[in-house]
Amino acid sequence: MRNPLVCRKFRRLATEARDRELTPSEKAFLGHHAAACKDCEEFERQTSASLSAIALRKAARSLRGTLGRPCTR
Amino acid sequence: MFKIGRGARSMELALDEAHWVVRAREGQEHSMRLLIERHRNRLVRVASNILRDANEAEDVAQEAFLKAFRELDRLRDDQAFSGYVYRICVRLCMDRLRSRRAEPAEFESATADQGEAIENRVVIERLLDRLPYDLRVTLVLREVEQLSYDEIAEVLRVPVGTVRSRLHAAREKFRALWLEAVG
Repeated sequence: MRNPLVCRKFRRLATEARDRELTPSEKAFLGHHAAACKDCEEFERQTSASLSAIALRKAARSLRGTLGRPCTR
Repeated sequence: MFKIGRGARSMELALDEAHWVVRAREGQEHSMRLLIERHRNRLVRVASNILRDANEAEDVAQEAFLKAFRELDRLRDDQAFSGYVYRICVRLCMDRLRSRRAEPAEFESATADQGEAIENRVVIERLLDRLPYDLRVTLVLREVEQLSYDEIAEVLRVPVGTVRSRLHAAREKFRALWLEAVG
């Protein structure tokens, strides 16, 4: 059954995982909860995909810099 | 903050830079040019990430150097020029975002067959543009510039707790916008 408090903890930790190394118990919690809660699993997937899109944007910029294309001005 | 790196080489670079800062404070143009050469690309990049406008980013970077040199007496640690000019640049970007007129919040949802286009940089930038400026800047500094919470707090002059809450809100809003665009 979905527990809002547990889901909130999952979402907080899933986000914090982008900023710090989680402890083994925190990682285990994420794994167990994601397996049991499809909503949270989907939340994690969406968050990861959306923020990765920003990272891709960065990669595109880096590649452009590597290729040495001049800035348009 | 924003040290060039670790080890003897980075120490050497930092000492070079401290020397240039002293000379720049005395008005020596050659040292100013050396400082500009070393930091210009980084400033243009962060300004471009925040403002999404290459031309404006170039302007802001120049403005940041001018302001940094004009107020160089405020820099207490001559080895900290990098962070000093970076902070000035980010704040100038925020000033520009504040002064921009509110743009219409129009955004057509992407259709299913446009799903792949969501990775297009232009689309991502349009999504970022829909975030409130303080959330956008915080998100860019973390996800693109990869600054730590402490560094973001220092640059934006806000408590670390504020950085955390803004980042949380920014990620949530960006996720929602991204879903809306994906359809």
